[in-house]
Amino acid sequence: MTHVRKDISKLGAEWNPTVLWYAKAVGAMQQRAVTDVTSWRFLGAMHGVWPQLWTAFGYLKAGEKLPTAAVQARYWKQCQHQSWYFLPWHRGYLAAFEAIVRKTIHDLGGPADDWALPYWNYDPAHAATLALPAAFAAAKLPDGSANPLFVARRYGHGPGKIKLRPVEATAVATLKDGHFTGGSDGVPPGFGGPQGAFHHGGENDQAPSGGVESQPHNNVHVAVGGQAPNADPNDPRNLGLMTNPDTAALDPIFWVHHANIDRLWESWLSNPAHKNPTDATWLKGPADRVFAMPKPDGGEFTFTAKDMLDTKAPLLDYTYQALAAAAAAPSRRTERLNALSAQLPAIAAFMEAPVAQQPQSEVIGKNDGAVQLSGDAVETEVRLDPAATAKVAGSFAPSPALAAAASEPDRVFLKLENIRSVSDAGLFDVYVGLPAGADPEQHPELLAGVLSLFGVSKASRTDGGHSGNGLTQVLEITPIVDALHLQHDSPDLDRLRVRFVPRTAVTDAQKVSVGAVSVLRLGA
Amino acid sequence: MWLRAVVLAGSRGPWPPLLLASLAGWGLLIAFGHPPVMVGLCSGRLFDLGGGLSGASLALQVNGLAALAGCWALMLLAMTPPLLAQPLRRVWRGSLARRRGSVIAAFLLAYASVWMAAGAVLMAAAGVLGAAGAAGFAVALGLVLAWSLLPLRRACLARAHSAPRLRIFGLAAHVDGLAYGARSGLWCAGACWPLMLAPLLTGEWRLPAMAVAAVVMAAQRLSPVSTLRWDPPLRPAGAWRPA
Repeated sequence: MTHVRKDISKLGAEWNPTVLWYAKAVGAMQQRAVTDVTSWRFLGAMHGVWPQLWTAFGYLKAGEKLPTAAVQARYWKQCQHQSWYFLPWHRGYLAAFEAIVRKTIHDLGGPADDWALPYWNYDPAHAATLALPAAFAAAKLPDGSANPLFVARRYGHGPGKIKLRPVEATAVATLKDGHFTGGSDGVPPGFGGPQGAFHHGGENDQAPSGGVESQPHNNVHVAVGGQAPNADPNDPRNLGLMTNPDTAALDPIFWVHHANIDRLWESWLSNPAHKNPTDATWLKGPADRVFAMPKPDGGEFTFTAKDMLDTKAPLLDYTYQALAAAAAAPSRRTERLNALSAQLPAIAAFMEAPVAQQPQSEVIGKNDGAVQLSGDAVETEVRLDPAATAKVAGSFAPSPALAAAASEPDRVFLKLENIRSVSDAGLFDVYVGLPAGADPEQHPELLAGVLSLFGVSKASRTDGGHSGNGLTQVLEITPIVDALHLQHDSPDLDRLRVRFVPRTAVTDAQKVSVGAVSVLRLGA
Repeated sequence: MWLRAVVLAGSRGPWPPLLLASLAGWGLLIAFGHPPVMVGLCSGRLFDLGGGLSGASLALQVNGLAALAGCWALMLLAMTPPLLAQPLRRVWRGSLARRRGSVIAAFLLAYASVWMAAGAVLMAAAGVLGAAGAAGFAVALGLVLAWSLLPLRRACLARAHSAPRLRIFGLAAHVDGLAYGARSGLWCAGACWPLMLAPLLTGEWRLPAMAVAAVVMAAQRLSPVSTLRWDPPLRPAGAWRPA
């Protein structure tokens, strides 16, 4: 029998059996020694671990025996981010976790046979699903004992119930991305992430997160974890567990969040035009390390991406109750061409089958200097190169040669590079083309995306072998540019305003900066 | 897997021209190993001509500054192109299409200039060590080992991965290309100088020694930054202190 992972919002009562037994298993796993590969803490350290912070939080005791150096090297700190291994690695990680929880439920005398990890389907179309599932916010279990799913270090957007904003949670645009693999410079970022011949950062030290890793994954981490109110956000002890990759997997909501990210991968694949990479370096990679996971009996299994493609295979053994519908809709390209062709007859030239040729990216504009972000909205101007913008404008009225070489008019991307901060707590809405003084709330059509600082503090360090380049994030602004083009018919643009609107409490002491803001075209 | 990944990576981006440049360097080194003007230079006998600085001085007199510089330049051409894949990819992607060539030229000019200056120092050092014969070579080998263990080398390597902001318009684009090339050259030289010095003292074995050094340098430079860190096994922590 294949196990079915179910939508936590559709499981019924707050303390339905799936959630209740999850809580009991978490409690049991939290009691195990950190040297036990099936313990809560061992599994958490596989994602990331910072002993001092863990000790400060009470997850390690001074003098406590840790796994041997060899065991640490094989299992701990494995998580793959800013890489096309993000999805397959986390799938294997979840499968190992799920099997251990199931065994624990069995040992506790619970209904282990059909238990599967639930997923948190935060869906803006159903506002109630944006709230943290109630069982995770309850201090007590129904029997009055402490609730292992409750975490005090979960601050959300501030006092009150934790609730995601729709723009943080949406995956609609992400699911329409037609390609798994991102461009080598992150333009486009791809659904699954940029290619690296070796593990993350190998080929490109400034690789951005892939589409689904960025939106909604990174956003949800910070929107749930947040930071302690009125406390110094530069002190990691004041951040929520989910905000920091080195503590994120200690929060039980982590696994339910990642089950949804994994479901989005299956959802994306439900569109027949969407394909996983067939490149052997992905299927059998990475080349420089083994993905090793513990089994419930204390043994281990190893895997590569090719072992993660069939969720019904014995190693994984699950399906999802329902997939996200957005992926099944017409592709991004089809929707775009349909919308444009209503006003621009020349677009019909692109309506044939997509051209196989790989489009090339090219920078067409950049701002003048690093931008310091703060608690107030901050704006920067990207100066555009007239010759390059003319190329973009020309792509809307393609010559026969261009129409034969490209599948659509140029796509346009906003690239944020060298994003640095002392603190990981930060979410900013990024708007493009907002008129001076305009209220961003009145212009959702100009929202390019959300900048999340998940993982930024480590990426900003320059000590001990870190290069300190910070994070890179790539946001597609093609719909905004299309609208500009339709409104003005080849606008003579020489500047593009970019506004960063903070959605968390950001202080100047956090020193959040974006080193460079550039605009790139992707086309023939 | 490794081989396939390497071959695949080598067929993309800046790699084909870089590998061609490197091959050309090795070809020229082999072909011109024994030209009359370079007697004892590219074949590795430079510092067998005499002792200490006087030996270097004699070599300078015999070979001429241009020949010494030319030979060092050939070493750079053979050994350094694989170190440039990442920064050149950055310059290419971060420049307006019509300026890519000229900004890359600016980068390479500055990068090569730094390494040529480093070459003058390293050749003089090789002159001193060469006077000590086998002991000098042992010292050079010791420097390779000692430097490889020092945090300073790891810091240099990490800095070599750093990605400064590059402006794209006008003269500023070329100024930034020059600056990026210079700092890349400095961090590269800082990380690799013992590996460039040691082969100068290996006599007839200089070319194989250079090949080994080039492979080590490339492997170090192409490793992800995350692997440059030396993480001791984690131990339970004491009192909180900020990272």
